[in-house]
Amino acid sequence: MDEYRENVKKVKKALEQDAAFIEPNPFLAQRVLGMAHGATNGGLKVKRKVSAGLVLALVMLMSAVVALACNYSYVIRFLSDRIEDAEQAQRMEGMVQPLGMEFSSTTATCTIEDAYFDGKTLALGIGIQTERPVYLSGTEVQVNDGWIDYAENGGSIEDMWAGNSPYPQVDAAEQIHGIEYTFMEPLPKGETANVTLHMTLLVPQNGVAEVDIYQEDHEAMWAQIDAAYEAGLTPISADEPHEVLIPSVWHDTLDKTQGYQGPLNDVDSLVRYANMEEMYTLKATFMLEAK
Amino acid sequence: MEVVKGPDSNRDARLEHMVQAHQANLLTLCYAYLHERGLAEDAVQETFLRAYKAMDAFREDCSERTWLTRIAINVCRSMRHSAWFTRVNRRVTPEDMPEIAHEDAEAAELAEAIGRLPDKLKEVILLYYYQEMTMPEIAKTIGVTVSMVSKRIKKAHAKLRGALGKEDFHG
Repeated sequence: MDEYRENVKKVKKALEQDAAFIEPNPFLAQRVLGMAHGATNGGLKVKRKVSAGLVLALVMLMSAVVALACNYSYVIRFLSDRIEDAEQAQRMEGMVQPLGMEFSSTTATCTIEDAYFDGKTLALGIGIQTERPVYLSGTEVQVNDGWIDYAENGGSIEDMWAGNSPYPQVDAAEQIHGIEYTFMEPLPKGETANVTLHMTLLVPQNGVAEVDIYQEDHEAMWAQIDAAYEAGLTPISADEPHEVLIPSVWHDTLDKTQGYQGPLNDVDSLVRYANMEEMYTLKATFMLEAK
Repeated sequence: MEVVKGPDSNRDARLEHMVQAHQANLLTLCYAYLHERGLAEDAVQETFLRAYKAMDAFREDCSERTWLTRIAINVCRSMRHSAWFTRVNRRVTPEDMPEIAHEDAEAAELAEAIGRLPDKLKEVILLYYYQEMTMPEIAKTIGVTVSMVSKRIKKAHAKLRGALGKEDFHG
């Protein structure tokens, strides 16, 4: 069997299995004809079918979105896509610790709005106001003078653009930013943590050049990254989250037949090799209680 | 007594035939795109409604299935880009899913990997491998050049191979 036919078979099997629980509606044709003719059905105008469950879910979800937007703190809104329901959101809201720490330069203002800390999960809500496209990098958190030994970073502002994004489809200025860490060894409830946040805002010196990092010809990809760098531009991935790419000059023994590069997020590399400049570096220290 | 059928009767009969022949296929396609049962069902209903209204304009320069697929993709795109869709958490937990007997784990993994593709890559995989459309047909359907379709298929291959391992998906 040729490769195309084999892929066809695999994709069909996968998608049909995934949707196997959905039964075709035996009355769909009559319903569509009723809608098309604007006909009546037993004296009642046939309306478009929208399941009651879907309507209820939509109303609840929209209510939740509106409620989150209106009633919840910044960090809870940042965490909203990881929160199961309003009850959990309310419970977490009660554990939010306001911070309101503002850091301003001539071109940007960063505000550490608030924090959620239950001993295991540490999340910070961070507001960023700036007119320039800003790349957030070098974000690190220390707790009690030690770097966090974390299991996963559930949602980080790293690899994200803020401010006036170079991507028109992403209104980054409206995005809620934040950072979330999950501790390998939770702190006991009631214990106080001395937290230090480090974060650097970088901006492209002369604009950006998009590179397709999934193209088959890896050497061509490296050539495009290197050409952007040589032209004084900041090479970035054409795909979200548009991470900044580092040209091959950063490493003498780089194998250009390899298609992927691990995005280098240390500030020095980005400044030295990606034609970026440091806009602002923030270091904030504050106390949080494990609630 | 002989019943005299007008033009509407022919169109109605054709719609019934189309629904019979293509509903299951389009449900799977729309569910793969939208990943929510209610939305997929609404998308299929809207697809057939639009098809019925445009039936007279269908010049049969492609197969009926290809024509319906074009409509369905446009409907899914509209739904996908509606204001609320982008704000709502689309993640489905295992508890939300009905139990499927004898599920093939490899197939489930591939479905999940396809579901995680960005929309523009997901579209070409669905059209190329599920609907078995040619690259020129896909190009016409999603409004890009054939070379762009080819490029997106290669990108999707790379992402799927990255997610599944090279031997699990050819490209």
